[in-house]
Amino acid sequence: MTEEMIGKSVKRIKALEKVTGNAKFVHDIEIQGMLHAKMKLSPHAHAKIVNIDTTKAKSLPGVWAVLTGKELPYKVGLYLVDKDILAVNKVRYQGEPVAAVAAETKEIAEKAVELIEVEYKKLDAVLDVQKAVEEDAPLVHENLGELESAPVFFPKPGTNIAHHTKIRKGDTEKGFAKADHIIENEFTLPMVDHTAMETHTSIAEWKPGRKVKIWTSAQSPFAVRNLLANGLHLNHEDIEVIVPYVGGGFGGKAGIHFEPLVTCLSRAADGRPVKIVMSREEEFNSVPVRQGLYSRLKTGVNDDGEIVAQETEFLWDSGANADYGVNVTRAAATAGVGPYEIKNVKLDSKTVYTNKIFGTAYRGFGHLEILWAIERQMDLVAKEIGISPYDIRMKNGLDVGSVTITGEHIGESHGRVKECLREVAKEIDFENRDSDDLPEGKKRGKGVATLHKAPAMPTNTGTAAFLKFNENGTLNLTVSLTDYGQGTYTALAQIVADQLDMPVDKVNVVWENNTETEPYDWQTVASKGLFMSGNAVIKASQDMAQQLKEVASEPLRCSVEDLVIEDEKVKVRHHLDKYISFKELAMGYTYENGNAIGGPLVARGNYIAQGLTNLDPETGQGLPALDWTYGAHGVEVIVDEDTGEFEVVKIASAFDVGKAINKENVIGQIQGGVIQGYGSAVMEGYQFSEDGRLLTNTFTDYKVPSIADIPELKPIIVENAQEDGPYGARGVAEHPMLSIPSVIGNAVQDAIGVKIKEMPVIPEKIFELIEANK
Amino acid sequence: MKTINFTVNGRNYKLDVKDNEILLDVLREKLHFTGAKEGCGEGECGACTVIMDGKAVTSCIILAVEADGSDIETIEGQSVGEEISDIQEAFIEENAIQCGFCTPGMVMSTKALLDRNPDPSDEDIDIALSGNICRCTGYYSIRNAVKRAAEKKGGSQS
Amino acid sequence: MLNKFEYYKPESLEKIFDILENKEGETALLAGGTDLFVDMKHKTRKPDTIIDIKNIEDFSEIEERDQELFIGAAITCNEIIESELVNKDYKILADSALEVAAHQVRNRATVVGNLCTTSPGADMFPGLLVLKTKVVIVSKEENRQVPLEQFATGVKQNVLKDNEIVKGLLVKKHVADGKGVYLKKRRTKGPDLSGVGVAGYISEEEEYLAFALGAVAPTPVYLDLSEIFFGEGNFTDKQEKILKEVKENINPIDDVRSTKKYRIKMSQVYTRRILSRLWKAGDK
Repeated sequence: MTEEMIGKSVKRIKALEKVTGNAKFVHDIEIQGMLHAKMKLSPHAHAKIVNIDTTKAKSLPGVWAVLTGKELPYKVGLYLVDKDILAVNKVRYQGEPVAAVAAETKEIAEKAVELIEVEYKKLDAVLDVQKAVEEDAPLVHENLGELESAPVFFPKPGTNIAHHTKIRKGDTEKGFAKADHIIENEFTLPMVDHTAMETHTSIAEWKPGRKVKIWTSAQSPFAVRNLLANGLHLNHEDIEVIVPYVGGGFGGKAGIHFEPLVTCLSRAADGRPVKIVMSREEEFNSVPVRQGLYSRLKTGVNDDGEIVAQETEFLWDSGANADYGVNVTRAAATAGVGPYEIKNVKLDSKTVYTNKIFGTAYRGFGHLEILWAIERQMDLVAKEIGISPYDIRMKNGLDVGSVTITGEHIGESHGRVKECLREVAKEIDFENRDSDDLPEGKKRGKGVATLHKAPAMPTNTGTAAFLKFNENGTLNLTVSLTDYGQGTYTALAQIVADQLDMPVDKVNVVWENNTETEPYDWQTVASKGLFMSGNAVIKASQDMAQQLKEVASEPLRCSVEDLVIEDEKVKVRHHLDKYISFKELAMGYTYENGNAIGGPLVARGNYIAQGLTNLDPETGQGLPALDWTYGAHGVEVIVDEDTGEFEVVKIASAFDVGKAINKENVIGQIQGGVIQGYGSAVMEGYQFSEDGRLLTNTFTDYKVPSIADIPELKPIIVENAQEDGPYGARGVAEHPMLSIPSVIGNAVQDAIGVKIKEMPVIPEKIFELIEANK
Repeated sequence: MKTINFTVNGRNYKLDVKDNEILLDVLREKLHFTGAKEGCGEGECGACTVIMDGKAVTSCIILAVEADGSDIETIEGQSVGEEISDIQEAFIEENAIQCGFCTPGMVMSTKALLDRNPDPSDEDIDIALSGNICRCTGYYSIRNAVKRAAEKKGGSQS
Repeated sequence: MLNKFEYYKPESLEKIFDILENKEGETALLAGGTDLFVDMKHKTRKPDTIIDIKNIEDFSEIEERDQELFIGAAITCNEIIESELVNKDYKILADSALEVAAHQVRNRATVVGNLCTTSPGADMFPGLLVLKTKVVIVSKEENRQVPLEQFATGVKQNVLKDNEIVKGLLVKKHVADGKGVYLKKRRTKGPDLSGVGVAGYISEEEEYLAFALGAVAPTPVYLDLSEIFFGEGNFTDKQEKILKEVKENINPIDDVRSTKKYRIKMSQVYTRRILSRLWKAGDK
């Protein structure tokens, strides 16, 4: 093969199926005899369930099953097992499912839900994280002490604190004592919805012998299987989870969602398959979100811009459950001062329960949120001490030899945050912010911000890959990492093609995921997919190469060491005209006389995170990061200094991806991520009424960016190879959206001097600040 | 119940529908054209976009009975056998597809646009497609795909 | 899911009146359905009968009659945007229609429907108000024309009686020098409901200047400011008076789309911007 496979913009796998409407999502799947489920939702943020009367619903013709929390004595959850399938005894948020129906049609199911009568007694609700941590706050989970959790999490019984991560480095008291300036600020941001275009949907079919088959719009088939097995006390091997095309995830389909409910409904409906589809309104009301965050940052800094001490408090608004939220708190804390070296750090990050829809993973896993505070604080500090926002970042940015807040030493193989920053500053001509060409009352502003993130996952996260030959010498690659739009499968096919020197279109990546037939993968999350599955796929390819050589060595009459793989053939190194093709070896090699050797070839590779450690619970010291991807944005804005209206003119975004396996798909991730971050920055956010009702529960009220909203964007790929990444690659799925709100806030501050500390950055808030400054 | 007659992708259909049935549901569940998706059910996201009598519409807020006598085009009618349309080709070439859930609606909105305006400006594209939400791509590649499709169509005409 | 109802698509007004008179329960008129079906999905409306008005011939007309433009009740927003007649002499209506929802929805949503839903922020109100529009209302008993500024009576409430139906609108044709501008505060450049919508219109020959504002009070606000503007005084003073009039006649609220404070601010800002586009300061 002469063509360079790695770095090439190979066309996306399954694009044809998607563009013709042929791709079948769970939304599109019907199983014979299938029933339709519908949930009854709580109208209250916090209330005791006095009574549920399902008599009328049960007697409605066409209704097969009606369930309430009383019949479902299970808890489900990823890290902290705190989720009810249906509310038991009390409801903890408006939108919480209290009962569910399975019926022959959607219409009957809906009618039956209307017939369910629920009597509530309202309880005091707590909606604000700062109030929720006060001593006399109403408790969201009274039984917090009894809940199961992974050993690295520490719920505090008798409080609303589901977890507390502490990071301690150096001595902040001494640091602040020496600092020339101490600057303290508070920052907030609201909950945000993933708004994947396909809402959550699942089908379950209960089978004799306590078995179940599930089709689900999920990111992680094995996590669904594992959590379902644990939650419902089933055997892992009795659960089959199928994931076909998935219409977007962004973290919102990680972990487990409505699979336990449909499983229980199918069981109650004598094994009829049961499908549940969230309406968009339910998706907003009852499906978990990105957590809100309150941050308090106190920074000690010297006149020259060196940050000498940092004290940080993060209070995460986890809503009513924290099964996933506890790990957001932990992971974000490990990145909690940004990509900077600060000698003295005291950081406390707490997951706090409130009576709102609960939090889960969302692209960036807490990092967009903390970087809102960190990168806004950086500009506020710079302004206060009169130094350029660029210079203060260059002064404190991580370099080879730096030590992170968890004690990790930055080495040659790490990415370069300063290089990314330099690139974006150059691209937006950062030093030049002349406004002379603008109409009166308009001011130009420019901002920069950096970002970093490592995968957040258990220390022993693993994955595996299978390769098998087809009769014609093509390959099937099977992984249970899912591809719901990232393009990872295309990159994996390129890796196999490169390793085995064959055309990429002869590598068929099996699309539909199935826990029965595919090798394990922990979860498709954390931007670890290409890194870990890529390494597993390299190993599987090497295994296959070895097997090909072993079989070929006999008919070619030479030792394995003398063979090379080239152009879909096994060749003798010094006599390249002597070879056997893959096709001849695929199902076993057959001699002229009919004798055969080898057999159908199958290969495997696996990968497990290397060297990660649990963090010390008191100091947070340890190694939490498989790899850090660094990046930076530069932004130019024009702001109306009277009204606070603003226009984002240009965004430049650079990421040190180590090595871009597929450039076009990397750019696709950057464009998509930046615009998702742009939504968070300037328009998105949950709003609640005073009694905890969600006010933004439709696309009419909750706006996301449209094609008319996108500013000019310059994606920049930086490539400093990661030693243990496949071909040097790092993940870049989440990173593009990180720090987008911060950089826009910074640019607006630069333009007209307003100190924005609340997200989203909207004209209303800028105007308030303009008025306050008058 | 009402009996309606209409065509979908040029094929004649006569079927009985309930007064309160939604066009999208009939297309998806009765006729099994599942290419059009329900993303919101309220005409806000464009995933259910089909072309009705030459105009792009959100089929989730149209009654099936209202389609009586009309000609409907869906994504399934955009390719014939192995042949895909210029627009579909352009979407693939520009990498304008990620998860794929919004794609059928995007393609249909693009077709309606190019049918009435073969050479759209950026603003025309924004007006025609701002009712189609895509959460994956950031839209840059989609805008490029529309332009490339327009070029292809222009190319084939001249 | 939509509730059960009976669907009719009559071919004459008489038949509509018959149905309106004889049907029990709630009856809804259907043109584009872009508000109706969304309300029904949210269960805020549950009509027993739906009358589709798209078969009434007259309703799909858009034509000039004497010195007025008739817009039939089934005319969609996109038909307004594409109409040569509208773009020639009533351009502000095309500009306003382009602000209604998204392209696909505008292929269904009608101008009259936008008014009949009577949302405080309905985008078609301000432009039609400043042009002086009459609503043509018909029923079995009587036909009447109601000036648009009297049409809305509250949030999602209007003067229409149960047995009445809007046949169309009559928009006054102003002399050729007339000029109108509609500005809208939105959270995204994509489809969005109005946070504040301000229309201004001037005809120097007629000595007519009016402003109308949406989303700043329970019903759209219409202000005929001709006397102020074409009376005595310099431009700056007149502008101040106009801004004061605007401020005194609105009463916005806080909601998910904006704040009361910002709505007041932007009503002022848009009024000033529109005025500067309609009139070069210092000319008068």
